[in-house]
Parts: sequence; structure tokens; C-alpha cells
Amino acid sequence: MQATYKKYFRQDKLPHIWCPGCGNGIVLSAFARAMEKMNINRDEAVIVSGIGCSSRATTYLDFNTLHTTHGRALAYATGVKLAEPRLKVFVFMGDGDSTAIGGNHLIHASRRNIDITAIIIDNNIYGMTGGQYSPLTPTGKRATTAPYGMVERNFDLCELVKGAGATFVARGTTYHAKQLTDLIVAGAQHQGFAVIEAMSQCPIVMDDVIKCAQPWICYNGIRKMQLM
Amino acid sequence: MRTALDMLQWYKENAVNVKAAAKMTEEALKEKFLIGELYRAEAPEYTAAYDQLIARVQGGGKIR
Repeated sequence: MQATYKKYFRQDKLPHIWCPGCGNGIVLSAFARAMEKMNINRDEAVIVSGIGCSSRATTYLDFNTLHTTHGRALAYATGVKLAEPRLKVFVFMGDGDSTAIGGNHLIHASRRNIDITAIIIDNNIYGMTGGQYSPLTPTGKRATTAPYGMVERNFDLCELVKGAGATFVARGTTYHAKQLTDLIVAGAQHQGFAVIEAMSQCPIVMDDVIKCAQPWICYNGIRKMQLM
Repeated sequence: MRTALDMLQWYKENAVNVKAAAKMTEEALKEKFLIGELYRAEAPEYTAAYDQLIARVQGGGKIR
């Protein structure tokens, strides 16, 4: 049986570049199913992303798309929404992209309660850019920038955006893919800033490369796997 | 190395739906994380507020 949501993908851009076992594809298919459920007209929707593994979403999804700079997806999306409020605007970000480099944009989009749906793919690490820790890396976990373990406390993303003023906050995982679709639908139908944290596994960078105790081993591991 | 399957299994075993969590003890929720719709509220939306401001100013209304 042909999956009807496949029409939302740019077939000429597939196959994707994500690592084996990456959860990003599950999040993307959950998103496409959500669009199908809502019968979204592709011409009336805009998808914006920043930089990182998650931000490849704008390459694969066949909508009006904007692939922008690291951490600034929400700033671009704010401009789009202000210029054309009738458009449905979705933003794909990663945990580093949204809470470190783009942390300021995240809290102010929350405070403004702008009608944008942000899907934050949280794999607890900067994947594409080299395995550095992000503000969502759990305390004690290793990263290329914390080879002996993270000493900082991590954010609770949902509490962070709730505290900053977001009016719809949800969390799903790649295991609970059907629920993730429903959460994206609910977020998109909400009038205001909606944040959906999509927890997603990263078996290559998060759990293979960064368990190394020495940064150069991690670096060589990443180079070997051609993730750069 | 944990596999993708191990990581999905971890999500399965440690995620608790927010509705189910309401009936669980603090002890049972220790080390777990919540999934589902965690928060919803109503507040003025930014672009709508901006449009109202523009209409008021262009309509000769006073800016407070």
C-alpha cells in the first residue's frame, strides 16, 4: 500500500543523509502524517529550519521552505509570519540549535506567543556539527567538548518554554510516533506559540562517538563516519 | 555501543503519558519523563496584536 503522506516529500532529494538508526526520519514522517490529517495545502504552509541534522527537514519536505542560519530559524519564521499571518508556519530545530545558539529567539518567540509551531528534535547532542554537548545533554554524559562528562545541569525544555510564555507545550518520542503525529496536529491547531519536543535517538554520535574519553578519538571517529 | 533499538526501548520503558502520571506516586515517577500534551493556555497572539495596533493607529486611534 502506498503511503499517502509521501506526497509531502521531495522524492528527488531522497534518500536522506541521516545516519543509520537516526530518529529524524520518524519525526519527519510523523510531521507528514500530521499534514495529511489536517489536509494542509502545501502552498499555505512554510517550513523554516536552522542548521544541523534536524534542519535537513526543509530539504526533504515539499512545502515552501526556508533553510536558514544556525539558531536563527525562529527569527526568520517570525518575519514570515508577520509578513503573511495567514500562512501556517512550522519550524524544525535541534536541541543545540534551539536552546544554545538560538536560545534567545526561543524564549522571545515564547514570550510573544507568535502563532508558530516549533518542532524541536532533541537528540541530546550536536550531531552534524561534531558531537558537542548542548544545553539538553544530560549531566554526566560525554561529548567531544566534555570528554570526561558534562558537569552542567541540563535544561528541561518544556519547562523552559512554558516559563517563557509558550501557550502549547508537548513532548513525544520516536517510539511513540503515532502520538507524536497527534501532538503536532494539536500544536498546529493551537493559536499561539506551540513547542513540541520530539525526543529522538542518536545511536551514532551520541552513543558511539562521544563515549570516547579523548577528544581526538572522537574527532577521528566522526571523520571516519563522514558526518561532517 | 547501544543500538537504535536499545534507545527506542529506553523511551518505551521510561516515558510516562502525562494522563497516566496523574495517577502515579512520586516514587513510581522517579527517573521517568512525561510525554503528551503538558501545557496549554490562552494568551494574546503576536501578529493579531500587531494587526490591532496597526488598525488603531491608521484609524486615527490614540496610542496609549
